[in-house]
Amino acid sequence: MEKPSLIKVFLIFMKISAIGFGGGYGILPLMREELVEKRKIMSTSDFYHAIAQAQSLPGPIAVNTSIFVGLKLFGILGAVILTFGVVVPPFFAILIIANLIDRFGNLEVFRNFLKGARIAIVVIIIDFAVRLSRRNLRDISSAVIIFIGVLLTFFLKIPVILAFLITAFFIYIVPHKKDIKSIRIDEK
Amino acid sequence: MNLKILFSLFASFFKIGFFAFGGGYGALSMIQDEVVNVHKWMNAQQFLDLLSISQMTPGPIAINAATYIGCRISGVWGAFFATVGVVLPSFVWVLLFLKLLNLASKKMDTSRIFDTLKIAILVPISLAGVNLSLSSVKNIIALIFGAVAFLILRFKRIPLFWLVIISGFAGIILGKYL
Repeated sequence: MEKPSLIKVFLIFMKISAIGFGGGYGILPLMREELVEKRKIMSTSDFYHAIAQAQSLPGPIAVNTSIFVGLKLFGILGAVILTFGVVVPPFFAILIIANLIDRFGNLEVFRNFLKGARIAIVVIIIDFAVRLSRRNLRDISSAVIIFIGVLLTFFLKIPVILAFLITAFFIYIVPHKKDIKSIRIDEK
Repeated sequence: MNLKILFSLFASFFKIGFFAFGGGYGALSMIQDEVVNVHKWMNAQQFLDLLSISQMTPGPIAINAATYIGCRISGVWGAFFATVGVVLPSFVWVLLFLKLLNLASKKMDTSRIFDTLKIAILVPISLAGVNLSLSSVKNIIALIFGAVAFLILRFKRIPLFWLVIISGFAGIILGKYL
């Protein structure tokens, strides 16, 4: 592993963010390609470790990964600068697009395009919820608590962050089947 | 430039970033509640349009959404404060996490707390899914459209970018039927 200059990695991060469509999960593969394969700045295991930590914390996954990669390679200054690199290209892209929408947003074709795209977005969110539950939700009791949480929040209009924290509290205190299963595996 | 609005944008997005477990989509569910339900800065349809645009624009979706909402509400400075607001909590969390890791990992199981929060984020995400479905799927054609898109995504795993583009073109063809 050779130690690269911060400026160079900053430019790499800007480039990745400027061409990474589809959000964080579109950006991470590009980061891996650049950092691990092409430039050999990080080892595969270091990079996956950074992603794993980034995923366990709140916030956009691409931002969190940049912070961990920056810390690992250059310390706190690196974390700030690399995050800046990831944020700046979309920032200006969105400002330009907002401007274009102001001019052309009323066209019939554009409005119909958005009608179709809206449905795709809803589908993507539902699919994400399905994948997230498949990956993380492994016991019935948590599933029941989540279901009750969604119903109560929907009908009682509880603030979402409050609902999130209350649900987390109940999932934490209710004993998990998963724990029992993992003990059983250990015993074998 | 209205300082009160700028501060309220910053505070909202800081809160969103701070509780956005589960990455960008966790953030979106929080943004939906804060922007559509609490502050009523935009309606559900405008919010979905913003997500379509974010998905078609490079960069992290939560950042795109923050920049766009900030820009719509209070111009370039609004975009700036909303974006900084949503990014800053990540730093707080990472630094806190590294501190906690040294202090607490011997005494308590921090990974179980994070695991729990990652499950609980399903509540905001499912709610966003339900609320946004109700406001965008209004007739049987839209429902069939959605079901087909869902099956394609489930079984073919095409890039989300292309799903949005293709659905957009389908929207142009189906036009007034949706």
